[in-house]
Amino acid sequence: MRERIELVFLGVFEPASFAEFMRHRARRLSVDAETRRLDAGRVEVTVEGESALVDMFEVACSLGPLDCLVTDVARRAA
Amino acid sequence: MTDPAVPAWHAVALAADIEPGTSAGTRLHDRELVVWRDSAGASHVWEDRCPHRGMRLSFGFVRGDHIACLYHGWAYDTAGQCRAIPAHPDLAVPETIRVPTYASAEASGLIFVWSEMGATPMSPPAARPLTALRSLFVEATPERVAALLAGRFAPGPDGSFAGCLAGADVVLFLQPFTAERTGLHVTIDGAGDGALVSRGAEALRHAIEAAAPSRFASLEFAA
Amino acid sequence: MSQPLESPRLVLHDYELDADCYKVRLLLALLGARYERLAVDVHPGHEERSPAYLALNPRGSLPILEQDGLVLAEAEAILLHCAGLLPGGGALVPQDGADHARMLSWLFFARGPLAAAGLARLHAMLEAPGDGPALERQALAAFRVMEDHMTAQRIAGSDWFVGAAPSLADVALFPAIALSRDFGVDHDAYPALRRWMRRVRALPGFVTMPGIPDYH
Repeated sequence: MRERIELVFLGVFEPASFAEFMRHRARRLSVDAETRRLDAGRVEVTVEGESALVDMFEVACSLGPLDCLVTDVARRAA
Repeated sequence: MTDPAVPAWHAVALAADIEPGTSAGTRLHDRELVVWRDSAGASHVWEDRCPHRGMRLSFGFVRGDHIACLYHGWAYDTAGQCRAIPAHPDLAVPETIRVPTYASAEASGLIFVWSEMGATPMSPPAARPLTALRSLFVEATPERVAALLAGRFAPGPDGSFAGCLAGADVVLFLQPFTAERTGLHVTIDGAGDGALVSRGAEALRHAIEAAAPSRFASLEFAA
Repeated sequence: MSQPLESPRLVLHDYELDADCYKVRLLLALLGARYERLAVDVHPGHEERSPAYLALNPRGSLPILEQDGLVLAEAEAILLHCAGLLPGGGALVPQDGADHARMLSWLFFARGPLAAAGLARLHAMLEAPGDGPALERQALAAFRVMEDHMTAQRIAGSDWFVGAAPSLADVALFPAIALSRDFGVDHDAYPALRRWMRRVRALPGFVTMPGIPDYH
């Protein structure tokens, strides 16, 4: 079942690193991820794909690359 | 043969040491690889990392023609393609979830891997009628091991060194494991007492480890 | 109708994560023996060093076996005693004099050079005191001895440490290498031991413990 959601990540980010990480994970999980906002404290991304894979994308990005710290994740339907 | 930048065949295990339905971890130029054999008897060499959480697939388990990760059971077919995710049994797993694979081949009773990931080598490892005896691991750099062996054995294709050990003709296959550890896969060419050759290989290992750089020209050990 | 023979009453003072305790649990499982298992609060309680436990075993160690009034410490002594006492135990003790001596030699090896592996593991897992790198080096040296031996055994046609059948040597030696990942040592360099560990895990009655996968 496909779904489309918006994810908001709060934390301390190296924007380019986090963006690359999300691109890589989206490619691997075959979901479409479009970044809406990307700065050192807040990242917003719209994700669309198979439900289970969208969930995996959320979990993967919640862990993030080593040089980023995610302190909070919020999710809502897009 | 020890230069990671030059693609080559390297022995990584005795074929008999990778039993059907089992897997083992190894390293080539410090890259972690999983060597596993499916229930049909075919061996495979892949990057040793599950795409999900990075767990070593060599810690996982083989079921039929799939290998599954120990963590969450993600199962991969013989092409490295993820086929099943237990937490999501109805999910059609996308093709993008796959494990990078290496070309591998069995010859002379050994499993060889082509060191360039995903590449197709032009020719297979040389097929020779050798009897694979054992593997052992030397705590010395691959360069030092190669240099020490070259003083007494004749270097050949696929990381091999041919010569005499414990009264038998042997061919040793060198595996650059990490920067500090080297695998040697011992085969016998023709007749030979396996127990004696195995102990001879242990003496060789000891001699290599004991040799200081300034002494590598003279390698003393029981012949 | 004759009365059934009374089986020995066994009480094992045990800690689930202790590798020496596991040796005894493994043997008792292989023999299908019934026993009472008393969990001792080793971490963080240090209960094995409490006055009550020191009264039972002044060495302050585990495992402790109580059997009909006998109080026995030291895992290898417990293994030998149980093998002599329990049905099926005799099959794990070689009849041949030379093989019997070899088995004893490996039991002493398990407490001698191989003990470094247990200490390395406790140091890594529970921050027990010790020189981590030195313990690891000693453990690797002991593992290499075991690997070379099982390579020779394989070449000679045997799957086991002593002779052609499993013995107490296999039971005593198994935990240290099976748990080596607990202190960061994987099994990549031990093809003969990997093969042997699979054989051990396939023994009828085999039980695992945290850190040892139970598939084969």
